[in-house]
Formats: sequence, C-alpha cells, structure tokens
Amino acid sequence: MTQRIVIQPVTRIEGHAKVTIQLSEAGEVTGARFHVTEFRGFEKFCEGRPFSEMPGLMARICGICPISHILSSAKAGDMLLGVKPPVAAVLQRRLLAEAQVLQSHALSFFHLSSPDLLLGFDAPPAERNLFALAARGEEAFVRNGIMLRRMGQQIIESVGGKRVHPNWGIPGGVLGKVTPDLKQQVFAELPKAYQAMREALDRMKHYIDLYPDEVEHMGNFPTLHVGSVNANGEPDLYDGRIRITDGEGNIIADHLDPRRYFDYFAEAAEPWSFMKFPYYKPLGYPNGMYRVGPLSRLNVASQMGTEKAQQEWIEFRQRRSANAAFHYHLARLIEMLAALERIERLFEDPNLIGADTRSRAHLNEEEGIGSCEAPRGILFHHYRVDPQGLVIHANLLIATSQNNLAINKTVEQTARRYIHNAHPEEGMLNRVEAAIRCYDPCLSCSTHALGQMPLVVDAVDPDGKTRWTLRRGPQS
Amino acid sequence: MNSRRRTWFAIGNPLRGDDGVAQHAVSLLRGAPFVRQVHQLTPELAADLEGMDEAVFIDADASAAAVTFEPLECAVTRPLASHHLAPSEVLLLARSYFGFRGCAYLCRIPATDFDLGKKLSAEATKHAEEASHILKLRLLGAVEDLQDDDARTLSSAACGGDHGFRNSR
Repeated sequence: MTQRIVIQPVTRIEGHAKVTIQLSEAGEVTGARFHVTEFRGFEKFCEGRPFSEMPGLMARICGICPISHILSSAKAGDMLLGVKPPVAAVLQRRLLAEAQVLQSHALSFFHLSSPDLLLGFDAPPAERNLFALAARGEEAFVRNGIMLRRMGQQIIESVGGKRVHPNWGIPGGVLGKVTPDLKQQVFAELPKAYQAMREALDRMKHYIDLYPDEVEHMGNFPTLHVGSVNANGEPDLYDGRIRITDGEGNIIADHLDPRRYFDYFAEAAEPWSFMKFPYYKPLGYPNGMYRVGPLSRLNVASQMGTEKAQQEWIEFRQRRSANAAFHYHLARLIEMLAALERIERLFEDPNLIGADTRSRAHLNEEEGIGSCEAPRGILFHHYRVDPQGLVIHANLLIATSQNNLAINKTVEQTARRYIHNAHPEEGMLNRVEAAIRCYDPCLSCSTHALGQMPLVVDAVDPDGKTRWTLRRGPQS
Repeated sequence: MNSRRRTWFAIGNPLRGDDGVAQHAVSLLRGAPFVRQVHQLTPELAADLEGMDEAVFIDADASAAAVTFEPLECAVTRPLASHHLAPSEVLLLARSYFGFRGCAYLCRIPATDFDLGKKLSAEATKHAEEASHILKLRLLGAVEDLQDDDARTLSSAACGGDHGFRNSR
C-alpha cells in the first residue's frame, strides 16, 4: 500500500508551505515535494503604477530583505532613466546591502537555525527555540546574534530612516544621508562584532564535526551554483556579473550581464506549488537545477576581497563541501564577517558622505532591469513601462524560488535517509524542517506572499484515503 | 514627568488603517524620545530594554473593546516560526538575555479597519486620544490611580522587583 506523509506547517522559515512525502508499499520514500501554499501577486498589482514608486512599493514584499528589493528596483529605475547614480549614492547602496546581509543572516543563523544546532535535532520542538537557550547557558551566544542583527538594522535605520521598508532608494540614486555619528557608532561596535563572529564561526565548525550524518544527507548533491562577482572574482552584492559553476566547482559561464538574465534562466511551473521552478536554460528543466545564496556565492568566488573573510573562505573551500546544504550556515557566517569588513571599508571612504546622491532625468527607456545579491541569493526586477512611465509589466525572479528545485531535492534526500518503514519520528520531522531551513527560504519574497510556513505529513492509501496525518505549528 | 528610564514601543503599520493607531496615539504625546515606532516586533528590540526601568508595548488590537493598560507577563504565545515576535516574547528575550528587570505593560487600543491607507477609523481616532491620555498620566506617574478607579489594576507583580512607582498621588 502506498502512503503519503505531509508535514505542515514547516516552522522557523518565512512564509507558508508544507511538505508531502510519498511512500512505497514497503514504507520507503519514493518521492517528496515542497509545496508553497500562498500567493500574493505583487507583479500584477504594481501594473499601472509609476515606475518611480516601484522601489517603495517593492520594499513591501519583505520585512527581512526590503533593501534588496529596493536596490534591484532602483537599479531597474536607473536603467529606465538611462542614468548612473552619483558615487555617494552607489556607496550608500553598497553600505545598506552589506548591512542587510548582516542583519538578515544574523536572524537566520542565530534566531531561527541555531536552536537545531545547539539543542540537537532530536530535541522536542517545544524546547528547540531561541527562548530555551538561556536555560542551556547560551546567553552570550544569543546576545551576540541579537547584537549583530541590531548593528545591521541600526545602519539601515540611520541611513534609510526606518529599519523596515525605508523610503530610501529611488531611480537615479537614494534619499538617505550618512552622518559622521553613524561611523563613530559603528566603529565603536566593530571589535565586539568581530569577536562575536569569531566565536560563532568556531561554534559552527564544531557543529559540522558534530553532525556528519546531517551534513551528508540533508541536501548534499551536485548542482549548479549561481552568484555575482566583481572583476576580481570577489562576491559583489550590488553590481557584479553572473558566474555559474557546476557541482565540481568548474566555471561553466562567466561575466554574464544580469540584465540579460532571461537568456540564461527560465521558470517552470508545477500544479502543486505557487512557487515557480527556475532553471538554467542550456540544461533544460529540471536538469538545469541551480542554487543561489551564501553557499553558491562562496562557491563561485575566486576570493573574498577582505582579509578575515578570505582566511575563512580558504578553510571553507578546503572542506570540499560545495554541495552540502548544511554548509549554507557556515557560508552565511563567512558572509557576515565579510559584510563587517566591507562596512568598515565603506565608512573609511570619504565619498560615502557626499551630498550628491541623485541623478535626475526623464524617462528614457521602456524597459528596466535591476539585480543585486539579496541575502538569500541573486534577485532580479524587470519592468516594462508605457511612455508615461506607468508599469505595464513586471517580473521578479527571487532567490528562494531559484533554490526551489534544490529545496525539493533536499527534502527528498533527507526523507530517504530518515524515514523507514513508513513511521515518521519526531527526529525526521525536525530534520526535514532543518534541511529546508538551511536555505533560509523566504516565501513572502518568492511567492510575494505573506505569513508563516506550514509542515503536513499525510499517509494516503492507493485509493486516496488518508490513513493518518501529522501536523505541527501555529495551526496545529 | 518622572525620571524613570523607559522604552516604549508603538507597534503597527501606519499604511494599514487602524494598524497605525498606536503610532498616532504616541504622536499626541509630543516630545517622547523614548518611544520607538516599529512596524513589528523583532528580536533585536529586546536589546533596547537593557538597563531600562520600564517597557510599554502599545499596539492595535482587533479583539479589544476598550483601551487597556495592563501588566505584561513573559510568555511564548506560539511556536517560534519567524522573525516576528509578540510583546510577551520580546519581554522574555529582554528578561532572559539583557537583564531587564523593569516593569512591563501592554497598552491595547481597539482597532477595526485594517484596509490599505493612512486614515484611521473614527472609532480608532477616539481610542487613540483615550490611549494618549492614559499614557500621559503614566508619564506623570498617575496611572495607578486611574487604574484603581477603573479596576484596571497595575501591580508590582508585573515588575521584576519593587520599582517604586506605586505611590504617585
């Protein structure tokens, strides 16, 4: 008798989803699907709006990475105007891109994922959360995570005016201002921040050694990796060219213009999910599976471009773990370290406080495409406008959806390892969730949808009758 | 105004109608630099309570029938699923990780209309004024008297210790 396991909701990720695991008559896993069950439709309802409103409108997609949506949208606006933003504006944009990586990755690692690592994958869900860590003597660890996130958020708030959804980025530049006080404040906190990163990196390396089975079986398979790099091959969050490597680390495409993203990537749809399935066109669907985000950015890079992160990157590459989703966590921490170093460097640049932050022009193009590296991976905004500058078509290609194929395969691999004889155990549910969490998926972004993500496990017989169901989360 | 070290959070999205009622209420206070206006509560806000004597969370509440100002207890209200926290959870983080031992209160303001737009409903506007009045009294140290009269009791049990604001008359 065939059975189906549904895990709903999946917790500690951003958005609504569920997982279905198909079992054979013998109770072994034959397939798995990661369903995204919500829809928001930003692309549709921004039609008819002036392109100048788009950065502010698009920021509302996500409360975690509004800066990325603002940046990609503003860059699409730059293209529509046919202008280059002034140097000070570009530096501000770079600063907030780094600050956002810092705060978003801190949230992902310390707040959402660290309970799995610190308390163990077999710990009861009720105890496996941030609040329980105090009882385990982890106060300093949690404080460090909160301090790092606050540092990123304070930079965003100071420059953009608000921590969430700042009205800051615009076509042609920015509306913000960097004050000398902010530099003093950030520099005063940097020593503690570097120390916190040192400790977190040491802890993460310990957990990699502690959980070899999870490293091996929670999303460890070869895929393509996509990321943006500058002319030196260093990760570039704001304005890089696309590089693609295969599962062995070989560069298969390089120096790709992100404004031609539709030449390289296409999106497939499946009837069981609102999230699309992007793939690398030359390899077709689904063979063109690729991953984006911290792991991929470190995989495609030739070097990091900053001293401390470079040392960590060398060690990371020596692990020869390019395809293990578990290593997203380590990659995330290395990116946080790099972000601190780049923030420090940006504040040393006197042009950062320049007063000229906006290039003005009338509409000069009918099509605008902007991209940047969001915390979860490369993000594209693509608009077409009418002669009055009203949006007539918008397409967003979001990081989490670009990981969709890989997330599905990760769920299947994890289920195959931890489910036998058709009897799901708590440890299995935890590991399936944790495997998804490696990608730090944001379904609010990827479906442009809102809410929390579900996890359901149904056992269904060949006649379609549900034999049993497991649920966990807010609706349970 | 007494000299307590305080951080207040006015929570809500002012572009979603009555969801912005808390921010409107605190705007009526004028000159309250200890108020943080936030879209939503996130973990790092717990750090803002370090060294404070008092935390007040002011929020729109669709289930509230009247403005309330009541002690807030630490609690985990649901499985921790994302970055968004409840007031009781921020309080728990602050108490657990940032040594916050001050008093904590939740001010709930009735709200009914959460449609897109900056405009508050007439009811929410009225409730914002009432909430602002209560908050002003709180700043003047007179809230407990009001609470006694209205049977909305503030008690030192809500505090991490005795912080001496009971005798405000």
